[in-house]
Amino acid sequence: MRPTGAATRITISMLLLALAMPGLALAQQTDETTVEAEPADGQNEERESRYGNPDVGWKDRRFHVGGYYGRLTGGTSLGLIDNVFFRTQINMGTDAAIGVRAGWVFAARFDIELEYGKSSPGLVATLTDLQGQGKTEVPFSDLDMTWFTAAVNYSMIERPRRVVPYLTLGFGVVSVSSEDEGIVKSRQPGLIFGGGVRVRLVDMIALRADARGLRSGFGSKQEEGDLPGVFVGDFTASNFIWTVGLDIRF
Amino acid sequence: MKRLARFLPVGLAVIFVAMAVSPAPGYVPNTIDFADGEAVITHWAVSDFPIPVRVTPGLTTDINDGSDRSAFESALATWSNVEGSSAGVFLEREQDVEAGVVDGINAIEFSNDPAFDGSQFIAITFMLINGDGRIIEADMLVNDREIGFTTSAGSNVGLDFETAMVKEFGSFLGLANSPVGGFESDQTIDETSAVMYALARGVGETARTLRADDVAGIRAMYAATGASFASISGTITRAGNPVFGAHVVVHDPIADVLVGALTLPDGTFRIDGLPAGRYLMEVLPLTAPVVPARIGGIYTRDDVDTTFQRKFFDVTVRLDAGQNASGLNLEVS
Repeated sequence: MRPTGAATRITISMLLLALAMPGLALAQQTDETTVEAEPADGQNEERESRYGNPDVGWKDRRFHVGGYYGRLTGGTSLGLIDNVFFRTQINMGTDAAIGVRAGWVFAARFDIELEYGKSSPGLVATLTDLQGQGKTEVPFSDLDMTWFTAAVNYSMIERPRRVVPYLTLGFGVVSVSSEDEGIVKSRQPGLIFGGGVRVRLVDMIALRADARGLRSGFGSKQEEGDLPGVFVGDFTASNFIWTVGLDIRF
Repeated sequence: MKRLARFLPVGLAVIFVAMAVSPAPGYVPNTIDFADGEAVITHWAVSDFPIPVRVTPGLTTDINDGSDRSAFESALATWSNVEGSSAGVFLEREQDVEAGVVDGINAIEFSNDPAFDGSQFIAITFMLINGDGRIIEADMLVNDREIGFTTSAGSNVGLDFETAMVKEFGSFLGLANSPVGGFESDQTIDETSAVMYALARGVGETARTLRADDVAGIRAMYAATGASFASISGTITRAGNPVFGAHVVVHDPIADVLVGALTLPDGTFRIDGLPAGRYLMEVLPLTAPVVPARIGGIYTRDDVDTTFQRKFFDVTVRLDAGQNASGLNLEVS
C-alpha cells in the first residue's frame, strides 16, 4: 500500500512542527530572559505555568523507557520487473508498528536511545501495463520487518519544558523475513532519522509522537534466501514510521 | 500444394492436416477444428517418445560446415531435456525424405522446390492424426529456397537456424502459436517472449532456449511420470457470459515465470505445468499483433471476443508444488 494522502499530510505536519519548534524555542528563551530580568514576584510563577514548569525533578531523571504504537509505510520500490504484459513493482506495504525503547540523557540537549521495533508490512505488487495503465495493487506476500537502532535525540529546547521537540539520527540493523518460500531474509545496516515531540504529562511520564524515516539497503549483497527476481541489484528500502508512545523517566 | 493434395485423406478416422504455416507454436495446444464443430488437441502418445525423425542429407544448403546439423540436434535436445516432461525427439539419420507423404517416417525435408518462389514461410508441419487428435506421423517441410539460414548468432544475413528449428519442433510436438510475447521499442521481439510466440524472430534475433511459457506447455502436454506441477484454472466472463479466446497470463515475478493460455468457448481456462510460486494474473484480448488468426485452430472462429478491456486480477495466487488453484473467475468489461 502506498502512503495515503492523510498519512502524508500527517508526516509533513510533524516535520513542519519540528522545523517550527526552533522558532518557538527562541520565543520561549526570550520569554525566559525577560522573566529572569524581572523581579521574582508572582508574575514569574504565572508565566512559567503558562509555558510549563521547569521541573527539576524531571530534569534530574536521566533514564527513560517506553513503548510506542503507530504505522509503518514502505516508501520505496523493492524492485521493478518488466515483461511484455506486466510492469510489476514490489513495494513494502503499510502496517502497524510497535516498539520499545530505552534512553539515557547524557547532556542537556542530548539523549541516546536504544530501540527495538517491529512491523509486518508485507509486500504489495503494483501492476500496470507498459503504458502505466490499469494500475492495480495486489497483496503479494507476507514480510516481517524488525529494527534495532541506537539513535541520538537532540532536544531543540534546552530547558525541560512541557513540550519539547527533538531531532533524531541513528544507525542500526534492519531485518526483513518472510515465511513465504523464496522471499528475502536479510539483515542490513540501516539509518533512522526524523524527529518528534515530547509532551510531559506528569512528573515521570511523557507522551511522545515521532515521525521518522528508516532507510536500509538490501540486495547489494545477495544472501541465501534472497529473492532472485525481486531483489536484483541494489535497491533501498525507505520506510516511514510515525508513532505515538509513552516514556517513563526515572 | 500438390503433395499435400496427394496425401490428404487417409481414412475416416485419420486425417492429414497442414498445421501452422511457420513460424509455429507456445503454450496453447494446437487444436483442429473439424467441420462438424468438434475440436481436438493434437498430441503424441507418451508411449511414442522418443520420436525418431529423418532429415534431408546435409540439411540446409545455406550452411556447409556441418554446424547446421549440430544446431538441429541441439534444437531437438532443447525439447527433449525439459525436466518434468516425457517429450523427446531424436535424429535417427539423414536420408532423402519427402514431407507430406504417409510413409511411417517423420520426415524433415529441406526443399529447394521452385514452388516456394516468393514464399516467406519458414516451414510447414504436416500431421497425420486420428479422431482424438493423436499424432500418428508428422512431417516438416522447410523452405530452403527462399529462407536464408545461418548458425552465427546475431548475424545479419539469414535467420538463426537453431532458433527456427526450436520453434518448428515445438509445433511438431503439438504446441500452437503462443500469444505470450511482444515487441521492444526497436520492433525486435522482446526477450521474454515465448519461443513459440506467434510472430517470427527476424534476422539477427535468437531464441534458442525455451521460455517458461514453452516449458509449461510441454510439461502440460507430456508430464513425466511422477512430475508434480501446479495449475491455475477458472472462467472469464463478460456481462455474465463466457468469453472465448481471452488471453489469461500469469506471472511469477520472483522466478520470472510468464505463462499464458486462451479460454475455451465456455470461457474456461487452465494453465498447467507451473512451478510453485506466487502468481499475478491478467486477462487481455487477442489483438494485434497476435490476432486470433495467428493462433489458428478453434481460435479462428467468429465468436472469439477481442473487444473487452484488459484487466489485472486483484489477487496473488500462491501455489505449492502440485497444487491446483481452481475457480478463479474474472469479469471483464
